[in-house]
Amino acid sequence: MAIEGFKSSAIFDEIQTNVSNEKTREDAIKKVKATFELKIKNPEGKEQIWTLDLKKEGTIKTGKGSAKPDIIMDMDDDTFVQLASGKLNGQKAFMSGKLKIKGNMMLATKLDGVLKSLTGPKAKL
Amino acid sequence: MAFQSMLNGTECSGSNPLTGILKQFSDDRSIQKDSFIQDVERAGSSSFRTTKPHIDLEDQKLLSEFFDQQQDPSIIYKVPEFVDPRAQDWALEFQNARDVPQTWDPLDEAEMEQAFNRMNLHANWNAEFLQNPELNVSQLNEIPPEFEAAFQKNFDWANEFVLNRDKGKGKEKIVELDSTTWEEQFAAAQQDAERSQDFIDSQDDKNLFKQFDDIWSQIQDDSIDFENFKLRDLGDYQFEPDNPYLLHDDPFQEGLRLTEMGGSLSEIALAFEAAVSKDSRNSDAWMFLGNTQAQNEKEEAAIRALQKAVEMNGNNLTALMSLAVSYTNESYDQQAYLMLERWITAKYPDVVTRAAPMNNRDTHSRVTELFIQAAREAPEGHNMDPDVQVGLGVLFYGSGNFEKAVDCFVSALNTRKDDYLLWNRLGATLANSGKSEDAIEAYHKALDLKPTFVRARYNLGVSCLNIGCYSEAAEHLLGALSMHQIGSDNGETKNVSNSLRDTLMRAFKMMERDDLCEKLKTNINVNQFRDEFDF
Repeated sequence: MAIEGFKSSAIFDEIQTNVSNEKTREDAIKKVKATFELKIKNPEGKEQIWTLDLKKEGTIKTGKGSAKPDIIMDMDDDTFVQLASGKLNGQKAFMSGKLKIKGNMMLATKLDGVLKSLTGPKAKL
Repeated sequence: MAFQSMLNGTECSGSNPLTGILKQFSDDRSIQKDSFIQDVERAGSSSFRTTKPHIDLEDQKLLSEFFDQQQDPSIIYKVPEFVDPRAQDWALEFQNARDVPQTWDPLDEAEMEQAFNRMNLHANWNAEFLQNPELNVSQLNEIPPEFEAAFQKNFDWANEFVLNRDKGKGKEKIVELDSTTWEEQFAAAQQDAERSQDFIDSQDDKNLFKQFDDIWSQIQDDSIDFENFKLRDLGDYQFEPDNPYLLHDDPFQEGLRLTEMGGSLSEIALAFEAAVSKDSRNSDAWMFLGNTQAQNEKEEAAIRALQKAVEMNGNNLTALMSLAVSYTNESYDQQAYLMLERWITAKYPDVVTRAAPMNNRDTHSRVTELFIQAAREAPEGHNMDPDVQVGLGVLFYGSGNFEKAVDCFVSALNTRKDDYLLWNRLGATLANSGKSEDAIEAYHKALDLKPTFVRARYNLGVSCLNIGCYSEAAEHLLGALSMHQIGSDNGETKNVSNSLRDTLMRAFKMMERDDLCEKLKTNINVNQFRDEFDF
């Protein structure tokens, strides 16, 4: 699923790896019960959508999902990386205008938790 | 951790006027919680009336700015890309809240709902507030009752912020909410909120409010840190106690000798720790210490040591490059790029001076351009500088251009086939771009060259995890951890590898072995796992 030019891509790969584990997947669905549509823009202006379904299937896919998502979040590649690494949280990102939201705002705060439990571990250079 | 003290220090609370103001208002939360709209009288218990806040001129200015909403808030509340350890707490807190059986965080929802209700009653409270003739900003020392009342009813600042931006100017919209959808959303939220009313009552609301407060102070802090680069160091290096090498005549040489002999990295680190204890200005000693700790998968210790190395000698090329790599690993991308800029300025000053001005380019593209120019100077064969390729590799890795990064590392490896660090870097780039099998091959190459290379073993564990080989992953990770033990000492060292421990825990979790998780929680000693794992 690696999309060149997007740091977020590697993170989504991590998420995919983690949800491929049944227990992890089931836990996540139980706790979150929502689908996220994430629109990421990279420094070159390219845009890419990922859909994180933690409602039914427990999958992460490129592109839009089949059903309407519970929340649509718009942000830069860097912002997503910061969210995933814990350097920024959803609230701060939102407040500073780095994160745009459509739909259920509450889910934006949930994203931090989701990212924490579904990302990593990373290989170290 | 050093970060916490930095954030908690007087830099935050003392001189920050906005925090000061918010702290004064923070206790209102409790009122809003219990009695919603009407009971303003109960304000007696809020910090508002009881403590007469002294708002000095600066605060007043900020206060009026805040309420005027005329400034573009994104200027004030700039959030730069630096580490925010409190964000970890937020996530943790959040996860803890999630463990209580409900689907939402009803705390947030209920409050927002209440805020919405209050908004309805007091739609233009802020206009009211500002128009009130008595509420001359310079008279805020007295906190007129209207102000307090308005504030208590409506102080859900997060939502004020959003709503007023939306209403007032209509130019910028953070959120695609207007007053109609807002209602719908809260109708939905209300349902869930009603379901979990008990949860709300049981929560400590001051806790939640502290988070809002923290965020504000962090935003302020981060803007400060952004200018002052130096503030961002991790603090002092933590030395192991009872270091036998302190008695050695020349621990620096001993460190080099042990490295040559392929000794344990933890042992070598001790030798270099002794070396810098004897001579703290020895940049190379700090550099070797840092590199050793990085290879030992102790990134924090590595960063602290490498920062010292660079402090003692700003042109220590190896230290600059290592530090750039460590920063990249920790996602301190901007700092990594700045280190690389320093590296290339030190090693290729001509390239830098000859380069066309690039003022309007961001750091990453500017530094990448410099490295590309340097690479052009000596393209092939003996003249090629593999370090330029490494720097370029790190730059491409940092921006997610993994294929290009791989090309760079492969290029560098052509002239340095036995460079185990390079093999590991190649492996990590492959791994983090989803190519686990290829990564594993690269790690094996690195470990063949250097069996004591803890980081490569850690990475091997990570890749095994990613392909679903959980118990094999555990074995590699345990093997890596066992290399941290010095002699027969089973005690905990000062510098530990959280990454190793956390990843091992994950491996146990994915094996669905809670018993192993428990064992690891109580005792880090790896020997307890030898009955089941082979390492």
